[in-house]
Amino acid sequence: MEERMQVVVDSGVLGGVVSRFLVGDSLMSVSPTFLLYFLPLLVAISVVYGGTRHEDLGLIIRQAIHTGYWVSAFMGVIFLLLLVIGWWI
Amino acid sequence: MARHSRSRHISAAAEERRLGVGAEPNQHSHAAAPLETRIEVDGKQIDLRNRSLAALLAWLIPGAGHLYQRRRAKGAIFFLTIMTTFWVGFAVGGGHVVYASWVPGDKRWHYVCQLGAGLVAMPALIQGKRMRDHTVIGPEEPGGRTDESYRPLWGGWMAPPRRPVMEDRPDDVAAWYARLGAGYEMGTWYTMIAGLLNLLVIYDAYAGPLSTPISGRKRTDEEAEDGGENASGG
Repeated sequence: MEERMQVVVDSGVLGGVVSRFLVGDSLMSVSPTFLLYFLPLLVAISVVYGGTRHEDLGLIIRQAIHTGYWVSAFMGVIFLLLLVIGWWI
Repeated sequence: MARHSRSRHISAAAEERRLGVGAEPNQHSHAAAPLETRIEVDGKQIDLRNRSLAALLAWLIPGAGHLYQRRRAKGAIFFLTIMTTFWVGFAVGGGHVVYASWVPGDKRWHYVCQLGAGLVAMPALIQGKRMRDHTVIGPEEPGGRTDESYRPLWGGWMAPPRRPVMEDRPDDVAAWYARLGAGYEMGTWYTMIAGLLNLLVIYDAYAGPLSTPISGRKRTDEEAEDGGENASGG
């Protein structure tokens, strides 16, 4: 396990991020499992948003998936941005 | 096969009424046309019936407005989604995240959002009234002090914290945080989001879907031509 972590650390910036999570030195002030609360909310918001944009069930599902993807991607970008800012500060 | 229409269309007759085409000139020719209750979205005809009643029902019970309009699938989806979100948040919050309170030290603005979920959040108003009846206002404590005889209803569900609520003293809110941890925050957010999502549902019941293209791509000339033909009643 430690050898694996050493390889990851040596691989560069991304490896450094991964290794910090592996050793439990979380970059967040809350437990990573706290993020699991986000998933049901994402589903609910996406489904309701999709339902209020279309009447056809297939299009509702498609809109919901599209919305979920965009919300997750947007939050991921913000997370990375804050991560980078955190390294500088 | 008919292309799924991504734009709303009103009937040709309604469009003529709106434009005044074919109407005989009289003193009502400039009066506002009544709201159209039949619309077409995604190739489906929807009868919105009594819009105001549908919106009211949608607020009281998420999805009920759509069931009234015989849009059963969407009504079921909205009901299950919003109710699940609300009750999961309520359970995670230990039954203490939904309450009505507006006193110094405890201005529960979150309840305004939670009230969007309708009837499920209204028992908090009864609990809040009961709390106010058992609270004595004094000069030392602006928010008042709850007397010892106070007993909340329903095992304390949706009951406000006992007064005074002070950040620098152990009180009911501090006890809830200590017992529930992050669950108190997440429960609050879940119930608030359930209420806010229902606002979208209310609008959908009142005015139908706000149909938008899923992708941001521009419509091709062929699609624009098809949309023009559909708008003319073809």
